Amino acid sequence: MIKTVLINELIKAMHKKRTYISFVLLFFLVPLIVMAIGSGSGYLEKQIYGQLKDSFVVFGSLTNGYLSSYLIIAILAGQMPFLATIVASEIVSGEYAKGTFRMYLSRPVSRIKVLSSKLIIVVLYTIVMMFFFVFYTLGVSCAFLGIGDLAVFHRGLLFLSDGDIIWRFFLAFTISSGVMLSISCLCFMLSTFFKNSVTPIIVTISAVFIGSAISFIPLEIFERINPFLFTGYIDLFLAAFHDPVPWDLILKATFVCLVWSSIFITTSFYHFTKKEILS
Amino acid sequence: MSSILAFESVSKSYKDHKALNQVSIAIPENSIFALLGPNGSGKSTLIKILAGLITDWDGDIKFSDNTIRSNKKYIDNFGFIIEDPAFYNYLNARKNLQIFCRLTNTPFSRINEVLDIVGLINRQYDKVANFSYGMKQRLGIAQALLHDPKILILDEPNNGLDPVGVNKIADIIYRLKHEGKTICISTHSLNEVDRLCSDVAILRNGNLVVNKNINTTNDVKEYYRIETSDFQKCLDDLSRIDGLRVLSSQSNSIIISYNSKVLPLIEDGPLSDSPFVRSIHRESDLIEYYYD
Repeated sequence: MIKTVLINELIKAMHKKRTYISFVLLFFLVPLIVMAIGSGSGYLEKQIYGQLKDSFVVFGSLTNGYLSSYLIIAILAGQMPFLATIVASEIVSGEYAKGTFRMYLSRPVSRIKVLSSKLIIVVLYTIVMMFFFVFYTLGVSCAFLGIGDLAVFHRGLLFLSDGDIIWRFFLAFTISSGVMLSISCLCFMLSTFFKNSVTPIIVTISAVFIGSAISFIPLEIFERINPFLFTGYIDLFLAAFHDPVPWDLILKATFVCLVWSSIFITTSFYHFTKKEILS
Repeated sequence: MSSILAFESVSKSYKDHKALNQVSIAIPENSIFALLGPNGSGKSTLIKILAGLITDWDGDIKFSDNTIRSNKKYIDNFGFIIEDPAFYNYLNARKNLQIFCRLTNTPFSRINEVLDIVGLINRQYDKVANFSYGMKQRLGIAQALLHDPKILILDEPNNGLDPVGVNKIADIIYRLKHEGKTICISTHSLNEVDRLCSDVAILRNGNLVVNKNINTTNDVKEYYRIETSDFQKCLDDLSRIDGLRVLSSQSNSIIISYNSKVLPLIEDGPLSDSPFVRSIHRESDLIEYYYD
């Protein structure tokens, strides 16, 4: 029975225009940024690595598809929470608002199965969106700018060889997806409470904003709180390009994100199964 | 006639008011049953409880003598339209019905049958966003019929429809009754009840006022709505007529009951020469239950 409910949710999601906003946006934005990086590579290298030339002789260009991907993902990852909320905010609240729950829930189907199917769609959407973000960026960047060694800042300057990079992008995708899933679950939970899709977006982004502020402001109390917030790990994907990779930190982040997601999901189910559909 | 559905002392309270107070109603099998009452009387609340949309309530509801609290599968036997039918406007009519088919394991072949019943077979590939209100109401009936339920619960099915639409819905209801289904219509229209229904339960402020068979009434009273040009003077004239009782008076409209055995009211009756009466219209006998 969950299969049939899931098929319904998939069909509904595929027919809504908002499902494709993120993909269309990234489809056009990423090549523009890649082309800009390509045409301004000299300036970029000077800004990032200019001081190295005092100590090193550099042959060739450090700008390649991997560096381009790394930069784009690092810059845009902070904006991905906005895109992660697009589907999650509307998937439950939209049905409240339009009144379709009156007919849908007066059928022989349990509310747990209905909400489970919607949650699966939110999870799938988030993962697919992040996959597209990371690997489309990687694909376009490498197609335009080629491949080579990747130079990143970690305890000075770290050069990652060509064969040591792709798995790191997979790791970065996994880490960032985990954090984005927590954000999506928060938005999903709020969607079960409100009858409009704007409020879940605003509250979620506000939470991310506050969490990010806690991450960046160097106060002792914030430094104590930050490790327990999923918002503190939004940029943890950069650790995938460190050497050695901080697996303990990644595991801790995974645990924190899992706990928060569980809280959000449990709250969603508890509220939804008790909620009276009055309009 | 045996009852297929029975509400037993059903109550529902909210923080600031009681929506339903110990309501007990028996709906006969294969009847067209009216749930009648003014806005806010509790009709929709009762239907939403039956549909499982309201989860916290007191009392019991029995379907074919089995309590629904212990058997959630009861809902397989019901088709609902609750308030305005709401569909996924970005999908066409057929895709909307396919979504409901999946929930009840109904084969998609049934879609053509129900669309034919409601007269929308030629519009099945049109987006619901482009449907008129009347078409959405008919599509609502189609979705309620998909899994061939024994009982149809229609909450204000004629709301917002023009006379042509009302007739179409009435035709569909008669057809379904002849197919052996039980239909329960929630409405605030007395004319609709008089026209379509065999039994009625009237709610007022969450309380059951009456539950009876319409066809068995022997009342000699008649009920009229009087439109007046001078409200107060008309009331003065009415107070002098024997056998007449004012049920409701507001603006320029007065509702009365009249014992027609005494004297016919309209033809050569006591009001025929009144200068303050603009018009007199016969009202349904059920209007009495709307007023104290």
